[in-house]
Amino acid sequence: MRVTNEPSDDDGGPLHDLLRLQADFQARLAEETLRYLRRMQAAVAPPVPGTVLRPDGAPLEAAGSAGSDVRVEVEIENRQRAHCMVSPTVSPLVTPDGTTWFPDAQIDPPSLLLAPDEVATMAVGLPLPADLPAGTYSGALLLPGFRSAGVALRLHVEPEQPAADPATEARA
Amino acid sequence: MTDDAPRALLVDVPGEAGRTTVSLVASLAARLASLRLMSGADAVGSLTAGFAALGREVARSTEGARLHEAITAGRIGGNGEAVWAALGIDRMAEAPPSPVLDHLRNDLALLLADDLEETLALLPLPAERAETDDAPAPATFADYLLGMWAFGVEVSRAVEAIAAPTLPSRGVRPGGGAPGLASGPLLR
Repeated sequence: MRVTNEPSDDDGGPLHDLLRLQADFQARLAEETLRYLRRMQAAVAPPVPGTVLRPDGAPLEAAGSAGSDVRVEVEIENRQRAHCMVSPTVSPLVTPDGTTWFPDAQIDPPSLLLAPDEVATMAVGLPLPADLPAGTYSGALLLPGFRSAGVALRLHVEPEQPAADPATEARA
Repeated sequence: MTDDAPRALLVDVPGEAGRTTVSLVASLAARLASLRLMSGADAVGSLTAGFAALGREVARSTEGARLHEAITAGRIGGNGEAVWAALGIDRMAEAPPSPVLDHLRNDLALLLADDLEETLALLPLPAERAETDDAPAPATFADYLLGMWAFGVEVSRAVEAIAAPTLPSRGVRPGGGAPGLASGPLLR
């Protein structure tokens, strides 16, 4: 806050400025006190055992032409000593030139309940729209609630294949 | 299983005790005990912040992003934010976010544990210290609503998954399989 000797229309004099300064200080003090108390509260919050998703390094990769359906599979292994629920989603997919595609992903099964040491396979079906521009799309299979970014997903899309002409096929 | 499918592992958080029946019981017990030490507003604020944090996470997905956009674009979003600010819910939700999805999954795992009875006999169990998040992002109404949706979907799927092994079939049951139905007001 600026304290000035210059008179102004809304100026109530030095005392007014002093009061505003004091009010501003009190407001900041209250705000900082609340923030401090919230941090204290977080520091003594009950512990919550969590899960980390650790991909084996290889991204999920698939290729297809616009208008077709592609499918990728991922194995999920529970290495914890308790059951774990997994409900993946797919992020928007982006090409290097900035084209963003919001796929209508079909995840099968949509959720898994894995026992300790159990391994299960999930399939991600991605119907490629006919007007989807060709290119390499990057995104991720996200697993909300886990302390990780997800599994990288890369999709190579080729231009739509023209439908075969029945007359040409018959001649052949 | 396929040989060439990439694999993702679900592992414990490094440096922590991990998800065992003992740690899950200790966590639930500490969570319940902490309710005696905090106000109702703090508890609700922490839950609200937790749902909003889940909503922010889910908004990174295709479905979540579309829903988030729909919520913020319509009248619902405007009215929600107005109520949020006018009634001070935004300030209440500045509390440390509760990891609601972790709680749900951990409590679900407890229901499925085969050593729960022996573990409960060990109570009271000492709990570890929690991780702290110094600067959680502000909770907005749209994030909160999206988080509630994601949580609801997870609850629905979780209940279906744990009930699946013992779920009775829909077929015909000779002799009546639903006690009270025949004598109840519905079929009289």
